[in-house]
Amino acid sequence: MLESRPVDLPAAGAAGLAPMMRDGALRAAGALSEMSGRCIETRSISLRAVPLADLPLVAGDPERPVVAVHLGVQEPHGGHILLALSEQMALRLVDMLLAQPAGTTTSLDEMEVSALAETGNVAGAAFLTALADRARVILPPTPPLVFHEMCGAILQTLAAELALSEQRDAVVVETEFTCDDESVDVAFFLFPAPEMVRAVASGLVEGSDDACSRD
Amino acid sequence: MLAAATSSVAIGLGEMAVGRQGELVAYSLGSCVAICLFDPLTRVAGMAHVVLPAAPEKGPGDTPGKYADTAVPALLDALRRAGASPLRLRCHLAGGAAVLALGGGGKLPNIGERNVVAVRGALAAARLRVLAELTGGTQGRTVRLHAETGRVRVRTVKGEEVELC
Repeated sequence: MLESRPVDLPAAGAAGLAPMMRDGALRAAGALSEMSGRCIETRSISLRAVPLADLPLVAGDPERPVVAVHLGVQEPHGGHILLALSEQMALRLVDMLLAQPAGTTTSLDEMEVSALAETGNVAGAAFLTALADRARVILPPTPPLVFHEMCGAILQTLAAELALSEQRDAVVVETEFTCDDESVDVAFFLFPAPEMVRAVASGLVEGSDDACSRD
Repeated sequence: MLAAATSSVAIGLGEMAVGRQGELVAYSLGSCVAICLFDPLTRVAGMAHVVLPAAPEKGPGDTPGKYADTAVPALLDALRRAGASPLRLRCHLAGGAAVLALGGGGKLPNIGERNVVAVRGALAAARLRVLAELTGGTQGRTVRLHAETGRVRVRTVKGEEVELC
């Protein structure tokens, strides 16, 4: 069973992180709505610490094939964003993006992959911008890359990178979406590196101190 | 961690297991490497799911299977205790892919390759020869070691399954 626990951070930073993540998810959903021309909203958002050994399980069956768009968060903060879609959902999303009747897209070629990459880019950048604005840090993303892979293989590779720095847990921010009030098989993950968590939490604390001093 | 394989035992990150029945399975390996060892005489099988090339200076703690340099001796010890002889062990490897071949200055692209090199080195130091391997590339893999026969099967996201011989 997947083990998880609350993120251990200074109180002021921890208290501010959840609304900040909600804001990020809302902005990502707004960006997706604009791109697809459909009403895409966040259904849920969670922020938790997961043992690295369990990270390959956070998206369910680790052998499940997904089409995933990856964006890195550039150094010095570091981190990863994944927009993971089932194969069927990826085809459906391409039809939405290209304003085609559902079922038109049956494979992912260069144009379809490019459309998905741009979707991940827009959603991920919107999320990061929301965080950066509120925490007053700079969080530039790397260019998006699209993978067709077992979701567990992607997550396991991220876990290995975190294990290199002798971390035992990964901070996981997960958002699920609805499209026109229907649940859709799209999961949005942010795996911030410890430096990013610290920078964002510190930014929040300093922000709240500034607010106090202005009062 | 050691666990007895009965039907199908999932070997998670940094774990090891030995068994005589059922299957040992490492699901969706990316940069990790599965070491599969099998003694055809006593029919004992063992698998380690290696995450990183080398243990930190303070040692592997309670997860010797996590690091290539500690996983090989720890797995050999466990197999010996279960009745296997290192002289007879058949060795197969799979994994070590660059699933997220991201380029740039990240650490990700090299972990898989470094894991494979480190595992080969640790096996050579233990005088174990790799009979077959499916390592590197850019695709994730699920690895199944049948504990009664020593058969090793590897599957990728496209559903293709191959047997390592």
